Amino acid sequence: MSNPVSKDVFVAKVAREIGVPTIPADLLRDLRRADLFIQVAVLAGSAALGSGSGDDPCQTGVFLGTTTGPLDTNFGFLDSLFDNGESQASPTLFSHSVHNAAAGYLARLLNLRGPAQTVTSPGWPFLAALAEAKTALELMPFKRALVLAVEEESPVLVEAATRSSAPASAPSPRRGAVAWLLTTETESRYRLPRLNSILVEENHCAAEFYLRRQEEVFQPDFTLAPGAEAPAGLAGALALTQAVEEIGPGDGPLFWTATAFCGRASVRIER
Amino acid sequence: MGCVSAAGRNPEEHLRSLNGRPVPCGPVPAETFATSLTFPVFSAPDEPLPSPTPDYPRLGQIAADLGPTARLALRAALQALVRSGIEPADLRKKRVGICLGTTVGCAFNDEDYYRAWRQGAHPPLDPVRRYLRNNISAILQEILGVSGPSLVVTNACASGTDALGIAGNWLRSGRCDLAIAGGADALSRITCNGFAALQLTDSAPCRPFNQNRQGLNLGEGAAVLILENESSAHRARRRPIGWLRGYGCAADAWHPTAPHPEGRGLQAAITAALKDAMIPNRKQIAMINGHGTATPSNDLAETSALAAIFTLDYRPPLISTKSLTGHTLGAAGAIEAVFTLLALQNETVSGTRRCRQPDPAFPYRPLTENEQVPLTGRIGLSQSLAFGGGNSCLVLEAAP
Repeated sequence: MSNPVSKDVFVAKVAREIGVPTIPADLLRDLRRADLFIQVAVLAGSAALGSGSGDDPCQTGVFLGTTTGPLDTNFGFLDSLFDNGESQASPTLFSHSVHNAAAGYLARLLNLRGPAQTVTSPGWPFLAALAEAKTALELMPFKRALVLAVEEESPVLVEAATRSSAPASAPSPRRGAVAWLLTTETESRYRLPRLNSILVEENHCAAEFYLRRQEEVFQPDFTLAPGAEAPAGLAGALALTQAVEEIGPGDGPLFWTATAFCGRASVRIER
Repeated sequence: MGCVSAAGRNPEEHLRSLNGRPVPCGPVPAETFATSLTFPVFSAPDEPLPSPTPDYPRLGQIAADLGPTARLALRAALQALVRSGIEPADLRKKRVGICLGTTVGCAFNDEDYYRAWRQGAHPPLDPVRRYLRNNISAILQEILGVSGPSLVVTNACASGTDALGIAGNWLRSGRCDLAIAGGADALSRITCNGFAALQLTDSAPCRPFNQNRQGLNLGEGAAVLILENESSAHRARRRPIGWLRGYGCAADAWHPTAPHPEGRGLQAAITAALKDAMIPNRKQIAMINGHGTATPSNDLAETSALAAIFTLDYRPPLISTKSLTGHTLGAAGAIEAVFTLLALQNETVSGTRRCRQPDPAFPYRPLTENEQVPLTGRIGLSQSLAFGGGNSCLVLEAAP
């Protein structure tokens, strides 16, 4: 493999899409078969990309992290199998139940022909996707990466969470996505925050943590509650996004950390 | 490297299968799951996991709760580690990255639980807990007692190839000292029905690249490669069995399940991998292990992409090993990387099993079943295409 070429990676734009999305008219036809997991991914991704895909679609990749993927669609496929019998299950639900279906939609609808990677991690998949995007941008021949966290709380797991121990408040299924556009374009040097380092160390932990996502601590300054409509699995991505948005001109480096039963992570960003 | 599939329990058996040993392909074994589907599958021979040892004290406790995909991953990983000669104690002194691809392995497919739940029952939560704790990379990390980056790649059928490429990037960027990378997937009634619903399965053993191919057969398996930087291997006096020379990946941006008709993304992935490997002369490529699923659209797109990359004056032999393993989904790219290294080490390659009359519509002719050719070099390509339009390619070189 060729030797790495040193490239700085900058955060060009961030966006989020929480709750049931409102599909703009120009995407209605393209998203008519898409599930809500894909819809929130496409809306967050297109908001972060803006007009940033540039002239060459091969220069932009997509990196998507998720804890459980499109679980509702997975169960929808099981419904179709149970109700219709073998050989009669829904082909559309099956093809949309794979974890990378959303990345495929993003690539197709936003015309992104660089690398397309989906990673699954029970703890902080956005940080995992961010780390992979940074490494890939540093080593591989493309310039921009759309990085997303997409989460959907299936009623199956929500119900399991309520039974695993008494919840503080009865949760209802939620979904949402966070998207960042990263770039290595050198003209960004003087105006965009630079993503210096990401370290993610997840460990195997009790299933109850993943069900209830309690006692996640994000620093500096706050333990962010992701909001009533946001899935709990998105909390880390939302907290980091908020921290990045709060970096002002002239501020010192942001050293952001996450700690929880599932491990620890740190991100360093400089203006 | 370690490898488990219908084609064998280890790399030696895979080489024998590549060279003509019969490989069973038949109905889904009753102990795997009950189904009325008649499509044949390639099932991997089951073997007990190794007993817990002082080296892996957590093995017994964790293994008791593993799903079939995680069991396959663990078998391949332990096999690879033993063959690498790296002592478990030495492993724990390093930053070890674990990067595995899967599809079935990260889906909640406990049918009994879901059936009861949707009927309003409150079934015991054990299947939910097992699902949430069955991240195959995290499991392996815990059993081995190592620390470092850990990732599960879920790029559908390209996951195994991408996991190896990502692990290579980790080593290059210094994120780990050594990487355990590959892919695993077990047979599942859900995926069998999914591919049947998509009408992509053959009712007979699959015939990749053949004119009258009807589709794929599903399979199961796992393959794991131990990767480390050359300087590290040299210091430890470990002789490599080969090199990961290059990696490229690119999206088709075309269709949710069908490949771009000209293999647009695959062309970009191969070009990027060759550039990464610093191979300007394509005559250095001695063979290509294609994705070769035996679906009409995949095989045509793949040969179209290769015809655009390799001009008529030099076309390395193209094979598919899915007629020996079935389509093992997230494991496929890793198993095929092992097959590629084995063929390159062996310095000959045999044509695709059951490819007797290549489709005349192909712009690139694959090697047929009764052909066996000596290889002109030690570097080959192993490539994958995936639902969602993902394409990935590895450049691999076998050690002399």
